[in-house]
Amino acid sequence: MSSLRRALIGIGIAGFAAGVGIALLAANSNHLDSRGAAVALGLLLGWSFIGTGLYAWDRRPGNGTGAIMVGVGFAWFLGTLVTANSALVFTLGLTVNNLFFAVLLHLLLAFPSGRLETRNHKLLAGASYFVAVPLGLPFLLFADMTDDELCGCPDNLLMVQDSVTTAQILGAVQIIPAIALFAAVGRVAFRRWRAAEGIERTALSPMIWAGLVMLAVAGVQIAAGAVSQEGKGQILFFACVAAMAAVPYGFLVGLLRSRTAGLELENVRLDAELQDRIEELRASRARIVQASDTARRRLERDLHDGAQQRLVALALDLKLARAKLDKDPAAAAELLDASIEELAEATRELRELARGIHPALLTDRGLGPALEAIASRAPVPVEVAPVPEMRLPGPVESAAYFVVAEALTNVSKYANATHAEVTVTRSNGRVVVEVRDNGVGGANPAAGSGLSGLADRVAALDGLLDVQSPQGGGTIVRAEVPCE
Amino acid sequence: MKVLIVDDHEGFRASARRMLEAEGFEVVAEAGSGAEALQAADTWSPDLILLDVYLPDLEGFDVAERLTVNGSAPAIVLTSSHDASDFGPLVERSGARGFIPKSDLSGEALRRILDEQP
Repeated sequence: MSSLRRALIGIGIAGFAAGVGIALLAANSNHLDSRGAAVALGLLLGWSFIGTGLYAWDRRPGNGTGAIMVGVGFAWFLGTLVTANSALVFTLGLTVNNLFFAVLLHLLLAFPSGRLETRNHKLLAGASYFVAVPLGLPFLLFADMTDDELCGCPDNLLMVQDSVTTAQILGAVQIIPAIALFAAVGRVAFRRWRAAEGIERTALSPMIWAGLVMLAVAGVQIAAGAVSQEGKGQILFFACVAAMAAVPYGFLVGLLRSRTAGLELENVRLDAELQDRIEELRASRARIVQASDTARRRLERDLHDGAQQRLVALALDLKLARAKLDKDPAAAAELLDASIEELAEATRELRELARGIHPALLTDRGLGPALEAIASRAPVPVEVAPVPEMRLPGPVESAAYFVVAEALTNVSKYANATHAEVTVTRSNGRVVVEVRDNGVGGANPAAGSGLSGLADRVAALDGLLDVQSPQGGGTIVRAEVPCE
Repeated sequence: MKVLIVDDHEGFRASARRMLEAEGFEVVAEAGSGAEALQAADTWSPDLILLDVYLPDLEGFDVAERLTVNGSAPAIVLTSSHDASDFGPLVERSGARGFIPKSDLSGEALRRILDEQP
């Protein structure tokens, strides 16, 4: 388990314990109305922020959003210390009662990157913390909390003088900038939402809108609280807590929606990729069929123009020789000599042709001897590095053989080289065949059908053919084919 | 009998010429393409044209058709290293007198075709 994961689990346990502690405190509070609902909503709110925050933190450790959300949860629990019956704990709760709002504003300012991006945002966040805690202290110096009008709470240990009027004035000094900050942060969040597009907006919308609703409800609640502490305030308080609790779920919904949208986008991308691949395969299949047609046509031509013509001429000459055998034996002998030569030539042509269709040596002895044989027939000196002895699958051997054969044919036809090298290596489940020469370079694989036909043959085995042929820099033909 | 041999393979032309001359034909000219064949037919007015089916520019069938279209053409015998069955009814339609596979070519085979009534 990573150290981050361990830390997050630790924070989770602390958050759970804090919730249980606060719930006990609130359940035993003798100055809290609607205790059951308050405990349930309070726990829902705190744990929602902590739980969602931890999830976000774990998923994207580099993004501060999760940590801030966890902070909101803990700040909430701290604020609910005011339910305590102990004057000391109660007073402590009073001082940090509004910290929660500051962290929440910080969260909205920093969402979604988790950072306060601009100076303005940093100022707003700083002001939020200042208004929430230090600016609340003067009020506490004059507020007698035991007063039933105010809340009928335990002793406020910070109070130096009981003055309702002073307390109300100082309370307003905190509330007015607080509402202004709500408005300012709401504006930042709204602008961010409006600037977002597509998936980003899909992801941001739920949390930003939950935040905006929360700001509105909380603003009204605070303003109303300043005017009256009656039953209406209680309803607004619960509405405010519910709106706040919606924020982390807004975040989760956003995450889910962006994921769904992301998946859809990914699907579209994969679909397009698949279409491209299908197009490519279709084209390559058509080329393979065409190449095979062309090869058969060429074979037919070669047979017809070569061996067949020679054999036809041979048949005529032999017939003529037989006719002349009695009357003109010398002419007959001459014809027979010519026929023998013609026959040898026809045999040689047939042999060449058969080798072009499929070399017997490759089938019988494998790639090494077959490549040695091509090299020995090449008009340019060709060095063949030792070929791995283990036999390769038939199609791989054939592809390797024809790559070398075609490359060496090109070397002797076009490269004007004095030397060529052939290497075949096998490693990591791949066979790499390379033919390099020291010729003039400038070969264009797209131009000649020989190399593009080979590229299709290699691609059919999920391999790649690469030709590097800078002007004047020699040519390297390299085929790489997977081979388990 | 004056003969024109039309084939793009020089080796075959030479063998055919040897054989036909040995059997009493007079080979007056050789041609290596359809165009050359049309010209040579005009120049030499042969009695018989031995005409290969596959030529580099035209097919032997086309050459035969062009020569026989006005009715006063020499006798034409098509030949090929393919078999007659490869061509179906094309030989007959072309106006040629007959077809001999190259390997069966002989003076006797030619005469047999020429003796048949056109």
